[in-house]
Amino acid sequence: MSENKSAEYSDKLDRRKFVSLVGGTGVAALAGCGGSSSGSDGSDGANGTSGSGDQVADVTHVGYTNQVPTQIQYNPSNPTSYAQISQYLLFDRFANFNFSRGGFVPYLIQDWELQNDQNRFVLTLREGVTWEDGDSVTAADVATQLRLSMLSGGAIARYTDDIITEDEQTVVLNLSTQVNPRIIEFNVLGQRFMTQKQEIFQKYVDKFDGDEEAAAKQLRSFKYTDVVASGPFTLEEQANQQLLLSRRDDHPDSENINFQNYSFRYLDGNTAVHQAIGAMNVDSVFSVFAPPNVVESFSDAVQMETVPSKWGYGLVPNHNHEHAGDRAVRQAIAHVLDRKTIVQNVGHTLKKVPPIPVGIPSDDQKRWLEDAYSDFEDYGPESMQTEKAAQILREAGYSKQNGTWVDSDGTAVKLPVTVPSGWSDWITATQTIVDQFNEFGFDASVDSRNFSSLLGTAWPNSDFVLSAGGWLPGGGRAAFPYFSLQHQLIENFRGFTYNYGPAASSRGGTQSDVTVPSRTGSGSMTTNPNERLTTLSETVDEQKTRDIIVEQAWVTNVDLPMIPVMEKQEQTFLTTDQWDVPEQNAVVSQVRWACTWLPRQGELKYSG
Amino acid sequence: MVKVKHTESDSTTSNEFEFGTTSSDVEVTTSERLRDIYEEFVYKPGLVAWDDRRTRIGSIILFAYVLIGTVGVWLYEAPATNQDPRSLQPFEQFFVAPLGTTGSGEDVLAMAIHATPAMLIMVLAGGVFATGFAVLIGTVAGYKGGATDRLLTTFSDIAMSIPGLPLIMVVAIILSPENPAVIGVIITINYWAGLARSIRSQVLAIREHSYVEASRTMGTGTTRIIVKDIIPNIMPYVLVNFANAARYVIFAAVGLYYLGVLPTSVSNWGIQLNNAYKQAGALSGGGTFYQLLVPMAFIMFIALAFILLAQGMDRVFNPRVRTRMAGESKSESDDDTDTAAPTEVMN
Amino acid sequence: MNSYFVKRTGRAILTIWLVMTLTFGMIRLIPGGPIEMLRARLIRQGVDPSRIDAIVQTYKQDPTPVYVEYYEYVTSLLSGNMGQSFYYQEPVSALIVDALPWTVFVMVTATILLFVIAILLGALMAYHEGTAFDTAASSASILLSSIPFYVLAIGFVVVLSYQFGLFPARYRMSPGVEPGFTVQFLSNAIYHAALPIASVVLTQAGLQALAMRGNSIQVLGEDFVRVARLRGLSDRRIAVRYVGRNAILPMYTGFLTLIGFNIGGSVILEQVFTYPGIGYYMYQALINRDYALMMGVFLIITTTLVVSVYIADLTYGLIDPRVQSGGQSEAY
Repeated sequence: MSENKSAEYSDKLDRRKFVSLVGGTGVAALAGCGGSSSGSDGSDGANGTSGSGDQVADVTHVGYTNQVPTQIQYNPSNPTSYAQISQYLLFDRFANFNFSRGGFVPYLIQDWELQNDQNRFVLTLREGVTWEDGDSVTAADVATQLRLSMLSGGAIARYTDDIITEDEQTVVLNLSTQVNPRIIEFNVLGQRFMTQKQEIFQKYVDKFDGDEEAAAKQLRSFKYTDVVASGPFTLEEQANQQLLLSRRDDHPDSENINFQNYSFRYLDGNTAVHQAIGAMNVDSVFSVFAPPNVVESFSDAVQMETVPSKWGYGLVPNHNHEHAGDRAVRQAIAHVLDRKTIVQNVGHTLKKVPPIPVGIPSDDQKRWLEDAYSDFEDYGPESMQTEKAAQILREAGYSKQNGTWVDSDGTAVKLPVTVPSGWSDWITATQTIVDQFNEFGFDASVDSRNFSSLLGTAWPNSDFVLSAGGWLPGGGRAAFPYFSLQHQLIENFRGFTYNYGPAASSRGGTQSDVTVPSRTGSGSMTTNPNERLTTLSETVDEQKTRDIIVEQAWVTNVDLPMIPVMEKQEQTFLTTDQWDVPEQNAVVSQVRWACTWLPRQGELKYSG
Repeated sequence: MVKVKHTESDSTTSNEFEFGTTSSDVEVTTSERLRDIYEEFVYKPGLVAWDDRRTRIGSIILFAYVLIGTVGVWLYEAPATNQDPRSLQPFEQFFVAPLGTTGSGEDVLAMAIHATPAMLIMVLAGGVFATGFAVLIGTVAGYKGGATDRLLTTFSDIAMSIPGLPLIMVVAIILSPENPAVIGVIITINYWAGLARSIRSQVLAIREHSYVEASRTMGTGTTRIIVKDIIPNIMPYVLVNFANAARYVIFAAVGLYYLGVLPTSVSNWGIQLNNAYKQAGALSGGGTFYQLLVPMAFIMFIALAFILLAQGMDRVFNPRVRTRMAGESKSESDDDTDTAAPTEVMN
Repeated sequence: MNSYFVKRTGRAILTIWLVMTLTFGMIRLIPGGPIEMLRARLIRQGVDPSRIDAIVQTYKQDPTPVYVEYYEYVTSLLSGNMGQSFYYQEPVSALIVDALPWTVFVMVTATILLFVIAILLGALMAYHEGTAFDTAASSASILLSSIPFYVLAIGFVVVLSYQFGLFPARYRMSPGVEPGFTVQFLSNAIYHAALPIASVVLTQAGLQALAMRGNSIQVLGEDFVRVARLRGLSDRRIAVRYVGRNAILPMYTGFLTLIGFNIGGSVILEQVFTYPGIGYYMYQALINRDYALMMGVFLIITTTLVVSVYIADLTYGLIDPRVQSGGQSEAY
């Protein structure tokens, strides 16, 4: 990242310019991460920022939360009633992951870098950021938050020796081993809000010197409600039905915000949200579940933004099952599935068709596979490729008798699909899949069970043939395929004991080799996914990173340890009757969440 | 939730109306006995019931459901995803899907029709269990008296005191039953208790009757007295309550499916309601109200059938309601002429 | 009377205790525990998987045998402590104290209202027996009774709340309204409770009205009414003094038990209207495997049921001396 920025950051007189530079920095920093579809200058805004003599209108932007407002607390180490949306405005994010770019946009942390033969990860803070009590946000605060994460078992603990502050603006993680920089990036920057002010939270860090378990318990049970904000808004009121935030005028981005209050109204359930946004009683909603016919019923002044959730419905086969464990059957299944029909049955506003079934999220496939992309099998995303499926099955010794496929022993291919009951979108998908299977000649049925009994017993005990399950780990970090490949090949986090050979023993595997036809030309390739992914996690070499990703992605594409079906999309709605927002699908809106990120960027303004 | 009709059930069936007979020690063959049972429990009450307009309409509706659940299922194609175009409105393409389709292209009418057989089994199982168990507990408690009575009464008191719907929900989650007969039994898991209590109080009165005493002094066994002398007396009352239990099973089952407490592998009107409400956005003005309306109609009509049956039977078997005010008995209303019938038939 | 009172009280307490024990055991049989639901929730929140393990690990407690848990629960219950809700992280008693008045308000109001309507309508129908009014009212009663209350509730929400915006579709009161004895609060609470109450009243009044009608007709045929008529008493006097009283009497027990049943039924009703009463919490507790909260709600509903039957039994004997409920009989 360019060095001359810091000089300009300290120039507080020219904040406007500074803001546009932040946007520019983001673009420059991420230019190497592959092209983005909607143009690279999206964050610079469609509306043009108005003069600095902007007046702040005494209006309230009404958002929504589905948490009971009085119970919300802000200690990120305490999972109970942790805020879900208001913290995006109350606290500054370390950096914000932009899904369109596939990378982080710097925010509180302006710069990050592996230094000194990759054993130091150095973070540089933005200058001029203050807590609402007037203290500066310093390296010590950032270090406190990271230390607490490390001490309470966060992922960075695996490779971090200690965390030190070099000066007011610089935090250094001393690393114990070599780690792929992208992994550190996601672990350190992803979904972190500058909340744990040293003054308040240092005592918890100190407690870890003694009884660690007790300290963890105390930290975890601390309800942080009397908050000191670091973001452009401060918490005004936690009432029964709404959270009220009011604008701070001493945040570096305050000038981008021309309205006085931001409230989050408590709405319970999707229909309540549909009604509220449909009647324009709220100005924006995030992460809501709105099927196409509902979206169509909204007025034109309601604009939908979708971001990929990087997780979604797939089929997890039990690899010990005589049929689901057979690669030919899995490939036939992938061919039979008409993913587009499934997505449309569930609702095209809610889900997306993965272009190729592979252990990489839909939007990131081209970005990472690059030239190799065309070698991958897409298994017919928009049709039932019954011919191909039949051919594969016949070659593997299966035959069709009386309309049903049987194996060489004459046993019918019986495929009950297990799905959590009550998850209506998943059930619709499962029904569609089962109908497609039966049409092709598998003996399929829907096997719906209670979610907790699936999670508690059926999945860990391999009590399933095919189960509906997440084929991606979810969250921004899944955009780095290490995480998604790890999820499919080695250790899925839902606890499916799916008995896939190369998987970890906790998932029923033996970390074995796997042999697949070679991607280029003839012959075959034998690889050990566990070793290769471990190598990937430790390399700092970009080319090696890409090579391993393509190689292991190929394994998932051919061997199908999990069968991707659809990817969930997170829907955010903005209203445009009183608010200026960027046009639909602008790059800057491709974040979590447009309704809270855009105001900071001067991209969501009150227009009267 | 769905109440037991205490007010009605508290009224004792009067004795002038007795099914069956006084005890007879004449040995009969099995086929004779079967015919007897048919006469006593099916033919005669059927004939009586048919004379009431409500019972007649109720029976016709119920028969229609039985037809739907047997022949209809066989005639009308089962619902499947993408069998038809998605999100058709009712009557939009009448010959494709008369009452429209869901967002995944399933025929709404087909879903409702194919949910019927399981529902009927549930109703039958629940009704038989609830009334059967209640008769067993109630008659034994009422007839035996003493310690047996105290024990059984406490047992039914406890069963009655567990909140019905929450209890069913917990049991449903523990067992996650898919068999409709099992679901029916679970739903009536404590429904029988209230009924058993009122049967007991009726039996208390019946057992004082001379013919019961006669049987007892003749040394007839308890089981025999209960079966031959007592049950026929309470049979009309039990039939009325069978219909009430049936309605309760429908309401509770649909409610549980709606809440998503029961496994969703089978089709059910409650699941349709839930999908329309939660997924198709029937509330939010997505134009999918018909997806709510169709299952609602199916629920309403079968419930109507059972209410009509219960009301009609109660009226027919319970001649107390015949008397009129001020003696100016106008016999022109259907009800009055109808209710005159049972005495003729029965005596 | 006194020994009956003692026995009856003893049986009520015994019943509550037995039900509590039974539910305690049953709840432990539910598959999946609070920890698994917490894990599921964290997964859906998108929390880092390794952090989830850490969090879940710290919540895990050494498994205690069920009888020890039971002993601890009963002892703390006796000291008035219903435990801590795992899901809401609040004392169960606080949640119930907050929620119960609302459920009682809705259900008791509804039940009283439906009985008042049923008695008046039933009496009218009986008085006008055989007329077109009687036929129409009877038919309407039967038709309305064939709708499950939650189906009518859904219909109300769709039509009256969403389509026409006449009534709120959810919650106990509007945002910003503070509870207290103010006109604003009371009217707001009634406004929010209107649809839940209406859906219970409309679907349940019909059968009660028919029962009242039957009772009234029966009473009208009794000898003492005939005598009264012969004595030349006015119709009004007969209707109120003789018929009304004797026809309503049998409905009294039904009234109290129906309150209990309806409070149990609040599980569905409050779900439809997102009305945070005890039924709503019951459902939340069930799906989140919040044992303490589930126990608490069960206990409260059970106590309500037992107490209302208890009151019914005791007072019915007072009102109508002919009945000696629970009386013993000679053993055969």
